[in-house]
Amino acid sequence: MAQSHSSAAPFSRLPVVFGLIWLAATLAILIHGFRWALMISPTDAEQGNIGRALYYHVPHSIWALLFPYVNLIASIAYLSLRKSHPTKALIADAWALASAEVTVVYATICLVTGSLWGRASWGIWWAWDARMTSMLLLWLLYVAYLMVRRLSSTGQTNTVAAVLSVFAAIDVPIVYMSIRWWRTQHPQPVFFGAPDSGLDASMKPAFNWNLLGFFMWGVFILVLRYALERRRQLVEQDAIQSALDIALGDTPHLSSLPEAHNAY
Amino acid sequence: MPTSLHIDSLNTIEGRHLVLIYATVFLIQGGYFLYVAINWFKLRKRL
Repeated sequence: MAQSHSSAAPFSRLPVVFGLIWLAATLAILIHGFRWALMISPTDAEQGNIGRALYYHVPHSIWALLFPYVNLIASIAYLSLRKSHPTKALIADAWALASAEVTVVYATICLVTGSLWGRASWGIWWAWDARMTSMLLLWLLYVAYLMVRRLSSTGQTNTVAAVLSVFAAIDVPIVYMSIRWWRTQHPQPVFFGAPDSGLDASMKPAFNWNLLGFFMWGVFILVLRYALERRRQLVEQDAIQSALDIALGDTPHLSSLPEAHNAY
Repeated sequence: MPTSLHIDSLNTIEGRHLVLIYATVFLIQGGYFLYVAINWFKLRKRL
């Protein structure tokens, strides 16, 4: 046991080293993006300095519509594997939980920064237009998903949550298309919109660096949260196994603990 | 119109809201990262 543990140690460090390199690169890009957004990028001719909110609000809004698809794929995988491959289903479930939390983080930032921008630009905190309402609905759906997972005490919690996540993902294309389908208070599409839409070339570096930086940050916290959930699952499994062993009069089962150390 | 953000321009409604927007992002992202990190070390103690 000790021999296999020591031989596995150099390999288990690889994800940690890769994660630290990823984090360092992410922070460097975010700092660079921050500098571009506030110090280098020119002031918006129409909006003034509040237009700089775009460099943080829009990347979060875009990625808030990406992570629900990770949740959807993981939830479908959980539903299809839960009976035939329960161990693989648990891995899918950990991805589903992690992506739902990251979705809520990004959607919260989208809603709060949008409201702050709206108050400064339009003079109102909120408008019940199609874009904002559908985005709020998306946030509520994923908060409901997390609440079900945390508070439900039935044996089918993960299955119920996975079904809910499939319904929640339907809102994602509605959020994206809302400013194309309906007339809204929210600005019309900047990307893939009318022929005269798009960013001025002088604003693109600030936008692109922050878009990349917050994507890399989102992936980092997603993987970190996944690793935490896998550890929790393995600790829980081990506790159940130990309790069963004690109940049956055997020696407590401790073999899965080294696995828990290398869960990621 | 200045080409970059000047510190004096933060003393307006737009400027204050801009500071709030950036602060909100750092607080929420940093807070969630701390939440995950704290739980990570709590779970590590149980191993």
